[in-house]
Amino acid sequence: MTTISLQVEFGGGLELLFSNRKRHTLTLPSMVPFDNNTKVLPDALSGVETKPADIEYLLYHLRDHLLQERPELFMEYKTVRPGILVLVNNTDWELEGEGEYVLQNNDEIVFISTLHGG
Amino acid sequence: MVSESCGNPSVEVEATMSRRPKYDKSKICIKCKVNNGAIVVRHAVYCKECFPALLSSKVKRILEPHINPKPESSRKKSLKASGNLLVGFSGGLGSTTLLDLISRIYLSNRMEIKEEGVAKLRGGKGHPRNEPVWEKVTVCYVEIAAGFSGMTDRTETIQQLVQENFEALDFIPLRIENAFDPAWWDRVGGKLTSDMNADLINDGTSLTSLSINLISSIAQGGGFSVREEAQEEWKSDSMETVRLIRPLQEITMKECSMWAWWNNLRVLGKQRHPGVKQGIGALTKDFIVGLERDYPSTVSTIARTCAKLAPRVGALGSCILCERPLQPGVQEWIRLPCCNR
Repeated sequence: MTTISLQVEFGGGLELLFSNRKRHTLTLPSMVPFDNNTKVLPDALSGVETKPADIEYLLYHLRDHLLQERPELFMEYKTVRPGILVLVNNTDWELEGEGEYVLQNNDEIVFISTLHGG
Repeated sequence: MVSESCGNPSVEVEATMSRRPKYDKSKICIKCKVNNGAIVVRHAVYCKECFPALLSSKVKRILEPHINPKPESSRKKSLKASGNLLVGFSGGLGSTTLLDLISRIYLSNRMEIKEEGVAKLRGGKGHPRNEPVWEKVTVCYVEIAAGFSGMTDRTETIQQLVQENFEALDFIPLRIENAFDPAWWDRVGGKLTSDMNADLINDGTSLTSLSINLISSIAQGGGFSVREEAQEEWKSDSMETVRLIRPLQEITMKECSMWAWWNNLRVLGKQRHPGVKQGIGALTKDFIVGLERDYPSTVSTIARTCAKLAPRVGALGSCILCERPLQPGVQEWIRLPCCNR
């Protein structure tokens, strides 16, 4: 089973939901359940429909394993809540296919909340 | 012919507004046409190198028509304001972004003078290139903690942030309670106003915030003063005009966030008002922020459409609290007594 190492960073106050830590290093399996079920162990994927680990799966993983409170402030309808920007290697995720972007080893994913006020 | 459609998106898929692709044409920067894009702004793709020029041009477009142009003595157009500039700062994303952009666009040579001295300036101190647009730029922070139980006083933190990151600017901390103290005005306020001599006030209201404020205000009966959401003007007793301009009003919250992130700006954020429940303002914000993500062009349409609105009748003076135009007949809106009492 191959794995992917990722650097995940939170900004704009979003780190408050993730143990008040801005930077996290994660390791994800390269193949994950198609339905984004984060409870299935990587060794138990036989017979389960799979897909390459993408950002959509990463969101579920963050929500289920790193988020400390208020999941509704992070995710909404299978994607990030409106007002949260996502950067993939310093590029707007809208240019990389949003949730369908397939994660690569050593990718840097940044989540920034824009809801600071003016 | 009567339509049989109910128009409910949860029942009819066709009733849902179709979503445009996130960006037009290609991923190459629309401006330089060379670099790969790094950000999508209302379906247009910009690279990281061209993004600063995009924001600068938007700020200048809003701000510069309000700065008196100098009499032309050379071909190069230059600006020289008759008064000074006051920038309202809350510590939030918009005002932090505004302060940074103003510093970079108009005040960068002040730091150069401070670090290397007047003699090092290209062309010398008297060269038009080196003449500042404003003699004085003041950052003003109003602490409102006294008005809300449980809110933290952040004056010291804000002062430290401004002095560390925007050395070229003067900083004036104020307190909301001072506004209601005539003795303060006599002792301090009048002198402050005269020293600042500001005829232009800027605040960091972004396009997103402006659209939220417009819809929220109209929903609560503020339609008569919708124009003042974008720009306000006050005349003092001596008939001098002070204008409140919002230079970020064409820049979305997304653009402000990307600017802050790419430039490592420290954004403190605005404090939530303790004990305040979800109201029309918060619901409107959720709605507009959702629009900005899914249908970004609609957010600017809100601001553009509201800019075309004008009241049918003239104002009956100004509101004593907000100093915005007072709608004739508003005092007739009295609460009717309950018929059982």
